[in-house]
Amino acid sequence: MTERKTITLNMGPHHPATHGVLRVILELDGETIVNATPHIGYLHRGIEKICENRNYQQIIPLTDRLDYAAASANNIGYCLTVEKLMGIEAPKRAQYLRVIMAELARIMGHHLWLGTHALDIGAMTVIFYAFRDREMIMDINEEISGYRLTPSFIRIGGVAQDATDEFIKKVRDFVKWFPKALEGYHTLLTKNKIWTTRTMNIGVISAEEALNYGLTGPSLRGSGVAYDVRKAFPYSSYNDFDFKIPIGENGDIYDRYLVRMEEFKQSIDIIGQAIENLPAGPVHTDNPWVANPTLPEVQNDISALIRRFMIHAKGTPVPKGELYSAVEGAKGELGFYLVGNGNEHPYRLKIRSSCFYLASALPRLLVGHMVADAVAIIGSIDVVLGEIDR
Amino acid sequence: MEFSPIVDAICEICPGSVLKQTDHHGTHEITVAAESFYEVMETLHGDEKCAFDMLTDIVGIDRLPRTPRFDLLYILLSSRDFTRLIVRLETDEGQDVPSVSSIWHSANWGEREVFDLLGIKFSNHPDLRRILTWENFEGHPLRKDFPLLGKDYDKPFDPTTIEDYC
Amino acid sequence: MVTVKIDGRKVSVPKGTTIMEAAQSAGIDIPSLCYHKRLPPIGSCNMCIVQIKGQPEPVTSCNTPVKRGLEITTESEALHEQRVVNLKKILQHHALDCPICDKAGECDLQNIVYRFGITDVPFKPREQKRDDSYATSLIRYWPERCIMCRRCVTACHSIKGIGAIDILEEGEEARLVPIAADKCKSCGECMFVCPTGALTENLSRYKGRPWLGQRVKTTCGYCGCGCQLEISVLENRVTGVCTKTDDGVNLGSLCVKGRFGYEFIGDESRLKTPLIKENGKLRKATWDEALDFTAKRLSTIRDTFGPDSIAGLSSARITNEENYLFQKFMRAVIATNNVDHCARL
Repeated sequence: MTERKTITLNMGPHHPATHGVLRVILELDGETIVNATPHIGYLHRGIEKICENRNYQQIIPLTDRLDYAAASANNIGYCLTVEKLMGIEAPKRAQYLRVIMAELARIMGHHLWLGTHALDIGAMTVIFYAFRDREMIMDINEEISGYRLTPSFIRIGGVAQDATDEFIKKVRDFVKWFPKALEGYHTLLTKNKIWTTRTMNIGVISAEEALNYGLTGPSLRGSGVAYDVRKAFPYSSYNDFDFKIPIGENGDIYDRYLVRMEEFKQSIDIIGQAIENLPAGPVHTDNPWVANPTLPEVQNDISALIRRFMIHAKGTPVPKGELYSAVEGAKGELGFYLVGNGNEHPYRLKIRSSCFYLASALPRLLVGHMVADAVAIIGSIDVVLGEIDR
Repeated sequence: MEFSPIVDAICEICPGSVLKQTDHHGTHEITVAAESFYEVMETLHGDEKCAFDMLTDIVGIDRLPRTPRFDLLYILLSSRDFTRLIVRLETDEGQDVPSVSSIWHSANWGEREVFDLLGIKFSNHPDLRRILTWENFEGHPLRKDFPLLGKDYDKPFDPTTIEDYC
Repeated sequence: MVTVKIDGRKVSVPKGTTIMEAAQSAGIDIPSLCYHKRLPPIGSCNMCIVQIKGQPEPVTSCNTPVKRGLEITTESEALHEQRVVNLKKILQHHALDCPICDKAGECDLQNIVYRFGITDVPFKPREQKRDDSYATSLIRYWPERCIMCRRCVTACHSIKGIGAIDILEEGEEARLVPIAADKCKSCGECMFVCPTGALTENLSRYKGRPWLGQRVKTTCGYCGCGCQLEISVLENRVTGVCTKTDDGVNLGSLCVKGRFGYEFIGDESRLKTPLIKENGKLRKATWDEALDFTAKRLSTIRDTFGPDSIAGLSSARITNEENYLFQKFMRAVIATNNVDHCARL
């Protein structure tokens, strides 16, 4: 009498295909997965606890490091929450610049997804082209803020500084170049027989289940639900732009791939519209508790010197209140629940991270598939551990 | 979405459960009594008028030294017309909260995170264990009486105290 | 008791209370720069103005006593505008010294400017003589930071009763001058009450920002008064002494020893181990060695030359309990009455 036993396979935190320090313990019956348990927390840095001891401005670089593949969108989410609680609004030019940075970040995040996902499944060429284009966006980031990956460019009440001519030229060049690159990715993968065999009808999740598991972003839209925070709860002048939300039908890996490929195109359209219609004006509100006085002001005006000292040494006082506000990050709905206490530190900042709930759906997505599909599925939901573990 | 029909529907099924209603910068919020919490959540999910099919997040707030000590907030989203609703529950140290992971699967990890970081226990949870900190971690980091630098921050680090577990 | 209405609330206070104190007892905070709890009201900054119903102009609340039936408003658009105008008048001659000023971070002027959100005060440097000398060399006076609130003059006069400094001339020509510098006792009271960084300590080389180090509450060890003070510690080094108005029996005041006599704490020449003299040279010893040696030698001297050949001198820097033990030791163990106490060791 032979007994049928399962093998436990540890897809450990050090693994090239888990896109970060994600550990998945698979129970295999032959090649088929019967149980999957993700373990997270290897990148837990305690960001929420640190935020309770920092000024509102000091938290901005911390939010960059959440979804570090597409950093600008996190900044925008946090600054919008604080602005809503304070009752101030960024000027129009700043809002357009924020949209440009957010969409560039989305393209950057999707490039990382495309390259690594294809690499996991076996298509080695894609990652080189994806990272070539990603370098162009990193050049733009460096131009405007000095950082390549985590710009920390957005401030409460606006953006850190105005767009230079070099920045506008680089963005225009990228907008002209990118559609050709996008066609290139399509020719490599979309009708590729190996790609379609490995991705069609794998990792299927229906719309109701996706909603029940808390999925958002391209993973939810691949299952057919047209939920995009930019359209459902518009922010930062997204209403001024003309763009569509791609949705899939079957909810498998291929649909999620197609949704993200179409999002590339929609994002570059938005950037094109924004850079052509960039309004003139200031890039920061002049609220005295938030606006950072410039150096000429500081050298001639005692009140500007005092305000600059106090904003950096003490911080911005934010009125008492609670607020939930979300933006569409590259991976899904990135929300911030802020409890303000009347003084310069938040009482509680809870970060609703989209990747956390995407990873929680892994047991449902992986069971019933084979080991080789596990890699494809983890790649298709596109998790970044910084956001899961905070 | 108009919220008064929702509140009426809830009050029909569980009378006296909605303690307070407020509006936070455009998002509606209701405070619910602890006894009828599970029925209210079931109504919000299943009832035709409500149909909140996604639990976006669970937020735990430590309000030391107030009693009841903790605030639990459930942020719900209805995909029919994309409206949000926040459900607030006040709970105290040692009180168990009924788990809603049988209604929304996203509550599974959400509640585990609240248990790990704040120490609120959920009854009927399929797998209540720590998620972000390691298994033998002692204490709950996001509580207000937990120091920022960690529990033994003023003692020198002794590597022989690390247990070997894999 | 007199009952008045402040911001719509009825407040009952004893007769003779000023409006500002009455508002404080009701939990209402009126902004001010020259008001200090321990000083009589000065009325030089004009920030605490309130509007009394029926009177055409606002009055300063720090020096106006309450009268039965007054209806007072502490916050309104007109009051806020007038306060901003008064504050800008104070600010326009204030030097752009925040990056190098010792007080930055705990400066009353900074706090009130930030609270009001003042913008647009171009700097107009004053043409005044940079008279660097002050009544004492332990305190440095920065005339370009002084806002002429007269707190220092009032403190020297009313808390200490000395009156070594005064403000001469008026208006744009006003200057703080040490009129009786020989009477100055360097107690640092003027420095304690100064709201800005116009009077700073001249001693410590390392200052640091207030939020970088720690403030350790302790008692002054110099005499039996037991004044409460806070020592600023930065990286295990003592950088200064500060006090708070509500603390201890001294209510924030100190003498020159408490205020400026902290440098001995970290001095290099302090003993770290007991020393025993051998062959004319001092060598390090352990406590056991030192105590054995002392006990042996004292017993030998007492037995050879008699108990009255030994005298004991104690000090106020040790506790009452230790002083009791010391005199008990001299009287019971050494059997002599030669024991004395010096308050200024």
